[in-house]
Amino acid sequence: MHVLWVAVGGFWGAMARYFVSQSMAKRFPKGIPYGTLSVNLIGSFCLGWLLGSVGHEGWIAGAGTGFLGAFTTFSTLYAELVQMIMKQQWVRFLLYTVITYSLGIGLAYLGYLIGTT
Amino acid sequence: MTHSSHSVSPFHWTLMLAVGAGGAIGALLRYLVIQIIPMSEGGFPWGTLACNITGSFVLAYLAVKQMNKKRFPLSPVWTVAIMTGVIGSFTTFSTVAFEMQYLVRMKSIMALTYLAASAGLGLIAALSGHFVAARRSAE
Repeated sequence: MHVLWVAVGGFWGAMARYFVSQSMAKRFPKGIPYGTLSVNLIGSFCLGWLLGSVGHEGWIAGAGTGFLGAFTTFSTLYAELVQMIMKQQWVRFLLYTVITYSLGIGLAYLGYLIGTT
Repeated sequence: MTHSSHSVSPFHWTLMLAVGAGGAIGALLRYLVIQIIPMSEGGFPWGTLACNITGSFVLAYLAVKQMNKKRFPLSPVWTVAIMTGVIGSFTTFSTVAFEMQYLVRMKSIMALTYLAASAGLGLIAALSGHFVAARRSAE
């Protein structure tokens, strides 16, 4: 049964990521990839909150593994980082890596704290 | 959809639907991998790491192939379905962030190991995908 919820969540999560990334890329075309950054940070916070507050396994499968898992992405982040290396944009490369990991981990923790209290 | 792909809005419903369908498959495949490769006893997330590293290699590979539009066999719909949908959803960042804050809270040394493995191997995988595709395109 959980398999079905993972697929349904993945469907909407990927679509939402595509929508947010495309919209952000249109609005903020310069600097670091704000589209990927926003989905990854929003998704990290929400997953922290979800896993802190919700105990229902079906919800965790659908909204967590499915939707938020698909809403955030790792492969796109690294494809973008490789592009920065190829263009020798070292500052941008470091900034993007550090911001993504530090804020992502921090927001997942914050979400978890809010979820558990 | 016509072949004049540059005139099609990225928000065209066929593209959105393709991303969603690919996303369902990608999330399912990731779920499967996590069932097969569970966390270690200390909480090291091997499954997530495996998905992220293989996905990074494949996406970087396809990104190079895609630049050569004439030799890239996929239509715009299939391109977003596979690249944005399947590979994008097969890999995940929110789980990584959650797993890391968990390992930090547990004061586990594995937090650092995982950070190094995720950031380091992710980059090595993506660079490898990039160069394998670039070399094969040059031949």
